[in-house]
Amino acid sequence: MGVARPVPRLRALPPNTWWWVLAGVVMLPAAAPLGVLAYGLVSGVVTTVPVGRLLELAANTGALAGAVTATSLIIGGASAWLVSRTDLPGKRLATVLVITPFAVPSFVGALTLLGATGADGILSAVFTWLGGGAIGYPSGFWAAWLVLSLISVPLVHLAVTPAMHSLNPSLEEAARGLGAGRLKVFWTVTLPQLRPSLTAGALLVGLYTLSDFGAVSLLRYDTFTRAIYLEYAGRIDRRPALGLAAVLAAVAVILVWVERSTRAKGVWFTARPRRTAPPVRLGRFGKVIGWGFLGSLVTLSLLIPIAVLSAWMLRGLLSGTLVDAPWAEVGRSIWVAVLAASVAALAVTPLAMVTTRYRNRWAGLLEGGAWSLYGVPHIATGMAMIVFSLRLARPLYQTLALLIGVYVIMFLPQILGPSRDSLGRVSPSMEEASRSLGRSPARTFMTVTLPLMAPGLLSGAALVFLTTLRELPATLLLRPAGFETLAIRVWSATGEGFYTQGAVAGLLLLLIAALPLAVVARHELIR
Amino acid sequence: MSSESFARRCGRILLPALLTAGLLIGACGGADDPLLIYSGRGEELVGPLIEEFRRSSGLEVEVRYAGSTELASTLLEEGSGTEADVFLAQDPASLGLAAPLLATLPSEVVEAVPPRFRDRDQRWVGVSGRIRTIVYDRDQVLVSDLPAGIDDLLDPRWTGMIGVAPTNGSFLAFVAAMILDRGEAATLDWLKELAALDPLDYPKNSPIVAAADAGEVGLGLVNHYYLLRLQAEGGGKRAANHFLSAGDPGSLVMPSGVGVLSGSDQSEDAHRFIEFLLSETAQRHFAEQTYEYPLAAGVRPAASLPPIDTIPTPRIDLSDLHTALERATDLVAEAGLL
Amino acid sequence: MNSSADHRPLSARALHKSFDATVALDDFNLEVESGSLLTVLGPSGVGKTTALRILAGFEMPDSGTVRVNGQTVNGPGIFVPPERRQVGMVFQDYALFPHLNVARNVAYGLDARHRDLRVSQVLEMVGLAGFEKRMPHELSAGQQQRVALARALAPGPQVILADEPFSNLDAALRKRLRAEVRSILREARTTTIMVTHDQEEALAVSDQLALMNEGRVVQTGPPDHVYRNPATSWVAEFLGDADFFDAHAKGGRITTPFGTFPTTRSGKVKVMVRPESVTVFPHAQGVAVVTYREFFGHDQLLSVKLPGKITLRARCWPQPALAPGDRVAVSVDGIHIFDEPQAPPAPPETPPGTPLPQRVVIPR
Repeated sequence: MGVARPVPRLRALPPNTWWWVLAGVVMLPAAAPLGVLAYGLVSGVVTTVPVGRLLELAANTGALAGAVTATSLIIGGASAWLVSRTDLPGKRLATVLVITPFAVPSFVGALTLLGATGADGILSAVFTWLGGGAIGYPSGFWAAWLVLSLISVPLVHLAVTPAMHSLNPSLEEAARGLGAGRLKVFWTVTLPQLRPSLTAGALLVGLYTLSDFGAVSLLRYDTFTRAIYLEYAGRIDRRPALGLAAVLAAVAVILVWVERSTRAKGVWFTARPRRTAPPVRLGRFGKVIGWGFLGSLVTLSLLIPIAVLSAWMLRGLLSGTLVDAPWAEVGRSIWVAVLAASVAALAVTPLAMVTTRYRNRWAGLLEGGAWSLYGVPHIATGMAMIVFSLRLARPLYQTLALLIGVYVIMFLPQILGPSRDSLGRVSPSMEEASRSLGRSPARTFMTVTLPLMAPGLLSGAALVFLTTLRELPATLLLRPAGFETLAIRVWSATGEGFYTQGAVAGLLLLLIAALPLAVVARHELIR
Repeated sequence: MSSESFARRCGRILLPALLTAGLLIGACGGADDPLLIYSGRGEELVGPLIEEFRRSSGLEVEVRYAGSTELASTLLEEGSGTEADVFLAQDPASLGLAAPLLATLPSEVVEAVPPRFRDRDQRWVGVSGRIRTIVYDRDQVLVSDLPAGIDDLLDPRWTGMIGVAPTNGSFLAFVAAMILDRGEAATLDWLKELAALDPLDYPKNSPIVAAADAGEVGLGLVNHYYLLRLQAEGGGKRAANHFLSAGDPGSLVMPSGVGVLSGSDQSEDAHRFIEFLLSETAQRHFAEQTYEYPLAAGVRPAASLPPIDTIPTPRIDLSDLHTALERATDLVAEAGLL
Repeated sequence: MNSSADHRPLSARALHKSFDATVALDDFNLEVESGSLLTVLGPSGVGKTTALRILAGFEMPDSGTVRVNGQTVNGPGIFVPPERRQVGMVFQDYALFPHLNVARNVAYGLDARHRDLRVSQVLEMVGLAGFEKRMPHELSAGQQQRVALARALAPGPQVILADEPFSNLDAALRKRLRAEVRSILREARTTTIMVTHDQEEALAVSDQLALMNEGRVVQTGPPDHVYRNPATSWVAEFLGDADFFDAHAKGGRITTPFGTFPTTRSGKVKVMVRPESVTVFPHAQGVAVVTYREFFGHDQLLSVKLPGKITLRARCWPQPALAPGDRVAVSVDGIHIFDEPQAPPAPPETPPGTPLPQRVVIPR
């Protein structure tokens, strides 16, 4: 066997540089919404929004975000503990049930809460039967708090479960051995180990609450997003709406960067646990309580929405309302979600490569940029992109390409996280092994890196698929003419009082949105 | 499942998906030029009609659905560069806002509709009529106690019993009509007095109707057709509509309307669409499916509705409604109803 | 293109490499003869791994040349990427592809022709015939290590580079496997460069040793030659046990408390004595006193104190059992003389097999 002719090569770009270039190209469009919002901050807020109104909105929004975050941390932490650290029977089923409400869009949650209450609602019927009175239509802070907390529980559950699994029992035992009681061990040893995942979960919930539009609109709680939409839909002058959106976006971006900087200081290292902790024995009574807790959680967050939608559908169908099954909308919803998920998978790859392999300022900037865009409420991004495309990129205005692009830049961190997880488990020596076995960088990427990254990409893509499917405000603003999706259909049909049609579309939406959760559950739980 | 087959399967699914996605995104660009309608009326209301027009005319039609005001504002922002050919709106105010961009319609297209339901410069024409009305719970409110006009609503006996949707477009149009009819100061007073009665807030008209039907509110300020739709879906057994007799803005007759963008290169097709909306087929659709008042072609409204001419309505020119819309939003906020 | 007379499988000349302020390689020179196993031995952090990665093409040297079979792969204006060097690599963590089974791991670097034949040939060679369908995580550490070797051998590279190939194994397995690997490499007639910090391992398996310190090779040669003739006191101390003391040479002789030795030097010198060349026996008038004893069963290690503040260790027969305080006579079989001042002792080694810290994965 002879030596391959070594081709002399001047120091060309090493392959890594291409990843940087690609990552830069991916994050470049991200500058558009941030730029427009910065412009909006200057031109809109300063001139058109009274300070008192800003403070009022900020107080309302902050109170809701704080309350929802705290509630879902407690409930989601408890459910994660139940399925990961105890001997509760039927954990697989419990897991699926706890995370499925993630598929419920907030406006469907709110809509069905309204449908379940009032004199003829299901909940009212139950209460009347129990001897109480009917429940009036809920609105305002507590209603929004309830709906958003229930929907946010899966976010915390998913964030905390892996950390619960990898808790090092020796640390807790060491603390017990040093004479600390159970409670002290929990506060001083267990909780600090969980802190990074709890913080991550809290950030996700906080950002979600800040950006929620559907629930607060329907339940009439006066937050930023609702005010933005009212200003946008009800006035000709769009500067106040853009200004409010910019303020909210700034708050979200600040939250993201604060969380990032605290995380950087408190990087948690731990020796690989040699063994897993024995499950906590609940006892028969404890198991009943455990399932009772999970059962009521699932009833509130999943069964009631399904029951209300089904009741509307049946009521209409039984009284002879003709409903065309919205197959075109189903097709469009799946189509647009698949496109967004696929493009996101393509776009995230260079980003995951550079942010996993390099820990420098530029990698931090790219990742922080992606997170900032994730934090910017969709309604703000949507409005910014309308302004951007109308004024600066007219060929993109009202096109599917723009809508997909916006989904991708809004949801990138959802796929960045799992991709980096997978990529982190590919040691660079595997790629070097491939190179030394005669394979080019491109072939190495295709045959080693990509297959190993694929599970993460896939579960991230499933998340993007799901969030795209249930996304409402940006879709409302940016969809091309005639491009009605299931979420839009539910929103507009129920808004016009066509409950039967809305219910059919809503049930279909839940059904399709639940499918990718199977993929996510697989990735998150099998470790 | 072994990790090998899982990873390989992922790769096998993912790669082709990525490639097709790339291609398709690229292919999404070009399209020929269909008749583009900006519709402030929901798909449930006009979707079947547009489908029918597509079929009968053979034209390619695309629709962008959104709120009427939102679309008016979008049109203004897009300016003369807009791709839209037709603007179909829920209310005259939105049409009025977009009027600078609308072309004058040929007289033979518009004269099927009574003059009070069209723009004085013929830039838009009404296609269906909707009436502000009071929905009430028959179990709670005696017919003899029903108000005759909106001022009777301010009676303290209705404290905590009235349902309103203060952010809803039709409520704002009602307030705008009141501003034109009575002036800003009187309107603000009325709104403040209403707010003092602790009305129940709803996001939209339809939950108010459902609330009246469930006995949650005694009275609700709504458009007339929501109750009829609820009844068609099997509900609405307990609630009833009451048309105010005082001739004040509480019984405002508000047409939905349509206009053609002056920049449109398909104005002939656009006129065909308007003619279709005013045809017997479409007018019958409004009467029978959405329970609105037909405005042309001699079609009669739903049997349970009083004839439109018998309803006393304030004397305002609907062409001016938009001038008061912005103020209406401000006054509602100022009165503390938001 | 350089095509010099140098047809060694691999040679490196005057390599320099620094990372920021740290100098990793400083005039590093190395060459390996065809078919032999050369071990680069040195304490942690002297640039062994950096050198290996430059030879493999994973790092770029700041200057210097590398030739594979006479062809320049690193040189002024020349960089041949790793995939075109025909240099195989066995990694410390084996770097097996977790998504491929054993056969596909081994076949990874092969072209379609004769692939199956070659895979079974190589697996046979490493004693893993019949394991083709196993996944890497289903193998023991020793089996994984042999798959890694088979994979590197399969394409028939000019040289195989191995980075601490045994450090992830426990002590017993390490000893067995290194003998096996040695014979596999012999059978395959492959030229190998291995990097290790383990002196015993290096002495046991190598044809040639290259001792490395502070970014450069300080001595090369067959293991026993290097052991017996250390070029510097650092080499002497790093490779085996050694005791040092200062002495004065005069008139072709060095006089010590345990005898007089001939020398060509004169003036102040440093004397090195290896424990195995020291013999002690009980003697009431002996010059030395036992200060410490470690008993190993097959032998014992004694520490004895001589006049002139000299301390020597003696590795000798377990009998007679001497105790601290016993007076003994000392005889020394041979000494080494260096004229340099005493080098500081080698930095302490990190014990191999310490679990690496694992970063907590923050899920999102």
